Amino acid sequence: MKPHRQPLVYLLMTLPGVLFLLVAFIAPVVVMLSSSFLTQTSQGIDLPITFSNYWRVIDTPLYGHVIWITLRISLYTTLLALFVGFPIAMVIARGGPFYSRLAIIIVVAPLVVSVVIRTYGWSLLLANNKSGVLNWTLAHLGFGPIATHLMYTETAVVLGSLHVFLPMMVLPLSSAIARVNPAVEEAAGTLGANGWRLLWYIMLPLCKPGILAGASVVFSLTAASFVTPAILGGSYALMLGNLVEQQILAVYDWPFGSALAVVMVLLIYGVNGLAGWAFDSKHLPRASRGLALRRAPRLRGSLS
Amino acid sequence: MRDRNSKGFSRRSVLKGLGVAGLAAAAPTVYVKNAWAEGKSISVGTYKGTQAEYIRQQVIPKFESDFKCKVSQAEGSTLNQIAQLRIQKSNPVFSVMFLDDVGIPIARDEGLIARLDLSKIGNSQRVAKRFVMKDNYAIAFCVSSAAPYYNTESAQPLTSYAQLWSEDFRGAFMMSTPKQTQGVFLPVVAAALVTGLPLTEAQYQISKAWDKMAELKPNVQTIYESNVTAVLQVSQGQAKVGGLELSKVVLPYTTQGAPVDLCYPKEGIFGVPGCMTLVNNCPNPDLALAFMDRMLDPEIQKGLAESAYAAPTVSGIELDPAVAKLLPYPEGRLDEMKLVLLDWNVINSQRSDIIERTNQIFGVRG
Amino acid sequence: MNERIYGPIKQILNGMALLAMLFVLAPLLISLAISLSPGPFATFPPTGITLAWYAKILHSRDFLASLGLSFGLAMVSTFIALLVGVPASLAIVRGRGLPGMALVEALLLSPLLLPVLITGLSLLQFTAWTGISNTLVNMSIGYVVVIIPYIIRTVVTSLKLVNYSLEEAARTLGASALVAFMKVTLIQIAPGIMAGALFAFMISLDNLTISIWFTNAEINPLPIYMMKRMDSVFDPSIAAMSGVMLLVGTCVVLLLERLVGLRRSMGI
Repeated sequence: MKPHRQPLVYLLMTLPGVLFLLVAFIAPVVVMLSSSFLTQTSQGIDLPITFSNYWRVIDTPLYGHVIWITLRISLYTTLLALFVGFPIAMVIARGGPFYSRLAIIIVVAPLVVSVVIRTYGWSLLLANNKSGVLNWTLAHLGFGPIATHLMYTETAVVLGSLHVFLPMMVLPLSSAIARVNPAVEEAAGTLGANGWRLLWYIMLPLCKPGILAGASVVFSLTAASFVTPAILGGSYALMLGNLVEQQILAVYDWPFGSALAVVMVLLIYGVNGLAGWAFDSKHLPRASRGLALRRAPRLRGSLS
Repeated sequence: MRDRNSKGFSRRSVLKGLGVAGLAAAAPTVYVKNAWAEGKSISVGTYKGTQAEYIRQQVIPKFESDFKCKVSQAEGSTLNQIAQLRIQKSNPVFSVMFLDDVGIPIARDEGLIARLDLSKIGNSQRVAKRFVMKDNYAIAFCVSSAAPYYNTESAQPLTSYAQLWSEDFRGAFMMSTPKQTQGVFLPVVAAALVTGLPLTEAQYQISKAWDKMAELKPNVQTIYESNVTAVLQVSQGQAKVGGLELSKVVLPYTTQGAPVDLCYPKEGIFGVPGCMTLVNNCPNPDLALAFMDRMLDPEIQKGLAESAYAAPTVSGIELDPAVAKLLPYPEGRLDEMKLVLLDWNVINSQRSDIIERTNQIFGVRG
Repeated sequence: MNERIYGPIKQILNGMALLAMLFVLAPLLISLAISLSPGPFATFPPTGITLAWYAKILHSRDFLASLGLSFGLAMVSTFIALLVGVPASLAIVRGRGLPGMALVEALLLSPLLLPVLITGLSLLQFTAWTGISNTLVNMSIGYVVVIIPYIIRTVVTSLKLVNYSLEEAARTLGASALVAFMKVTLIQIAPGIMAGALFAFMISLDNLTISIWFTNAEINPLPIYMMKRMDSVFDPSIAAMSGVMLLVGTCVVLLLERLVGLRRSMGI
């Protein structure tokens, strides 16, 4: 089955990829991470080695607050994605042929549409004025001229992120549901479980690997995003990604920007590890934290 | 250098070649005197908005066909453009960079831009002295004013900046980001209100502005980066006032009939010269200077002013009276309209502090 | 869903799914509606119906150049990633257990572990130091870094399902190693390669997060171009661009559905 006849040949086949990633990914990342311990001068990035960038993150209340907002937005988005994504995933995995096909097309098609454009669509939808689509609709239903002020709030960022990352939840979830043997549902039904109990006690635990994988991806991508919060969130929903971009492209403080980037990575890893550990120790040993981490961005890591 | 550019040209001809070739072929006049520029290309970093559109549609195609060259345009705001220059310092892509006067000392001190040879910019003769800046490191081609703007259907124009703090504007003020030049003016205004000094003196007291800025917080709906979108949103009633913002961003809406206009508070408004700079060690500097010369051509100056509502810097332009009354032009009206020009040396040193203080005050709702 | 088992839950789930799909479509449909509005500002409700904005962008050489550039970059990056990724996947599956192979696999999947924002950022700093100044090269490098793991993952998954004894049989019957691989194994993993390539292509086509650090005056991939336009124009032409992209997207998805079947290519 797995012949090792030519070990050298196999290693050679991986060589281009390995070399490429060492040079174009590992090395730059190491360089960037280490520059967070240096200082920006007008001539460039220089010694001495210092922890002052990290100290600034800890010492300034703003950054603690932004970390908290980032965490909060990402968690809400993940939970909502699970709640909104599960019914769609059920339809895709268990629905009739037409409905299931329609559902997957609707979930996948927006993936091809730029995140810029989708965010633009949301800004038209949520605008805090009479020509915002939501307000316009509500006004016509008799709720007064400007009923909602959702634009430039965390809610807007959560909605926008949910829209962008929902497929990352739906796809692993549908594939987990599809792998559940229908006979299990049948058996539970025969033994008298009603629909709720079936979902809650049978389907959800069995889909846990899919849920964890989806949640991990949605959380990680949301926590690292900066386009959606910049357009929909404005100043009251600053996320870590916005601060990184601001430090590099406007303030031009590479070391501090790098330090913020490191904090972002630690946040993502910390939460993923914690979630993996929490679910690991309880019910399902296989849905391990290793899985939660290893199956990080499964479909598209690129969505801002 | 030359090598790289010719390679660049052939690459682009694959991508965009049809358009360029079409334009070159269609150009009726052959400018023999410009033959030196044939086949060369430069990148120009311009501002955003209507003015960038005018340059894209009216200036570049004509310039390209006159010089048989290729001009690429990238839009951005001053700090972002400087960030680009820094990243590309060892191997510049841009030749001409538009920077607000705020950016000139930074770019000059870091060796990002070169001194201009004014003898190669013939039209610079007509530019008023104060617009040839920083020892010939920059030449202004337009002057915008920066002022608050308001929705003409739901609010009255501000007669004093103090009104911005009034309860009438709870959650109804859209503030421009301090990452852009126009966003630095509000702290100056706040300092003026706190200290009672005129704006020109208050700029040295920005450190006193922050408590006053914090008091503004209940009124701030958001801090925006996308100027065009923000003005549109105010015109649609998303907020009642916004700013401070450049006239060249606001007035194109006003004249297209959107219910939004600039305010002229009694304390005065700010002037922002838009400058052209030559990137240090850039590709094809001669072509770059020729492009700057074209930007100062009286016909272009008139067109720029009338489409993008920024005052020309070249003297003797006959502007459409409807536009003229909105602009600080001719030069003497700068003082007449109480346009304050800031001392950027002082503010630049505090710029990252201003950004961080603003984040700290407004980054937390509550 | 089995009606008998799930009972009324089925209706509730279906209803929720319907609402969720409406949520997914809403912002896209609204951009579409506004793209047809003749007014000078992008506002709702649309004031009529016109195709003028579509005509405008389809005649804009900048938009077309960006579109072409993005397609070109995506194709080149996908091709390079396939060239590097397919042999590596084969080695990973066939050489499993060899010393170092686990490390190699981890390394090849490692770009997935870092936010793309940070990958792009470190690449930018890196190129500033190495002095590679060709934006196209830098962007392609960034895209390839990001998409290699996707290719590896899909190809490895489909290779694991391949029946190796068929290739063995071909060898026994006298086919050379290469021919046996091409005629037997490659055909079996072709759908996997195709699905991986399509994802890689889609990721590269809309890669704002890598592109934003490298863009300059000449090189404006589509998402960057659209973001810049949002900052400069206030008419509905942006909405028209989203209309065009939505059309392209729907075509790609329908094509994928026809060719491989969406559920299959998504691993469902």
